[in-house]
Amino acid sequence: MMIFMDGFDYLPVTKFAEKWDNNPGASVVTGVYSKGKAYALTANLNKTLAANQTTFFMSFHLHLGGSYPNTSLFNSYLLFFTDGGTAQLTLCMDTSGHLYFSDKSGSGQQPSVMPGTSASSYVCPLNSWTWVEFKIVINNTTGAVSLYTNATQTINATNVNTRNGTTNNQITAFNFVAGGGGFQIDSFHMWNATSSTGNDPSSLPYGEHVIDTETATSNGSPIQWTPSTGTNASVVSNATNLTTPGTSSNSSATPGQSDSFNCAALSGWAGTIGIVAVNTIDQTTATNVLKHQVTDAGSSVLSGPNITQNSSYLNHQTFFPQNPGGGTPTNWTPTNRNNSQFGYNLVS
Amino acid sequence: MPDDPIVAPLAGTSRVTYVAIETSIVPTGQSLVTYVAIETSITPTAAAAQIQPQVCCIT
Repeated sequence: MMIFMDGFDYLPVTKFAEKWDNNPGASVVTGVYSKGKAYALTANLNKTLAANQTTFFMSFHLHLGGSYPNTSLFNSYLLFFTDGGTAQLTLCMDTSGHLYFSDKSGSGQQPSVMPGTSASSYVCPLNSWTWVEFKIVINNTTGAVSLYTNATQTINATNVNTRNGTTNNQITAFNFVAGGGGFQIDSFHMWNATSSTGNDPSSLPYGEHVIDTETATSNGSPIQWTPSTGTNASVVSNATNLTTPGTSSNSSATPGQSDSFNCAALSGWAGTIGIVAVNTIDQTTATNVLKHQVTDAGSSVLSGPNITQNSSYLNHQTFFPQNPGGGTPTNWTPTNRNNSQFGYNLVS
Repeated sequence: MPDDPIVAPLAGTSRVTYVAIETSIVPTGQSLVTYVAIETSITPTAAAAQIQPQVCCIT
């Protein structure tokens, strides 16, 4: 089941803390396939998870420049997986472009390869994107790591110690680390082993996926919240609200009221859809609860779980593995994605 | 009767003709949404292939 996803396409780095833990002092750059944005990993980017994870999966596009041997990678971590701030294990890259897992999280030396595992045989090509996905099971005796690079499994180990920081078989957060590799990250996905519906992943490999990000183009139906200016759709697609959240907003204090929007079509993608995420940047001045919704062309509605809003503007994300399908949910297709409306409902 | 004379302000007199208090405040009890973004995870097949950098070799 997908638990977090970011295509790095809409938030400016100065507002990443609405979706991640921090506003990194870095930048976004042109994304994979020259579409959208990617995160240039020149500053750490941290994410505390909504729930602890023991078995989890991640995938993303990874880009690096320079030349091999790249001595700036000598002490280069890519990811820390932490429990309460202490690293359990790390994902690193050696000076020749091989990814590997390490049980070390110190500094000042090349992190050693985790006992019982080996470095990936795959050399990440320079000035190009590699699709990386992996599985980690946190356990001090029955831990496991598996890693795919461009759809080929190049690390696979079981019964290894992946719990080198604390005595808990879990992580509570992960951190992209600004190493010396000049890494860029795009299409970031994280999921766990919980079964779901549609193409929502619960194992490896997920396969290469990009993340297309679109916003509202016009009011759908219903439109029941009050816009502070313009139309409800123009409010929630106003880029000024990204740099200065709340410059304009739609508001409601009446439970049951919904806004629903027609959104821009997928920007040229025509593949198989894994999952669709609705993101809102929202706040409450009371103790309001929201839920995100998808409405299909036949007006059938699927609702996500309740979201307890915060008193400051934060990004909330709901995953929809399937389309409402006229009352019988069906897998997403580009056509029903483009014909659906997306929005939110005030629960209380 | 002559028109009322135009009375010039007396020296040292201060006059206030209008007061407006502007307060920027979030209305109470409101839920506010300021931005919506739809992210779709999709395999980059046909359309993506069209925009991939093409590397051609002449032998």
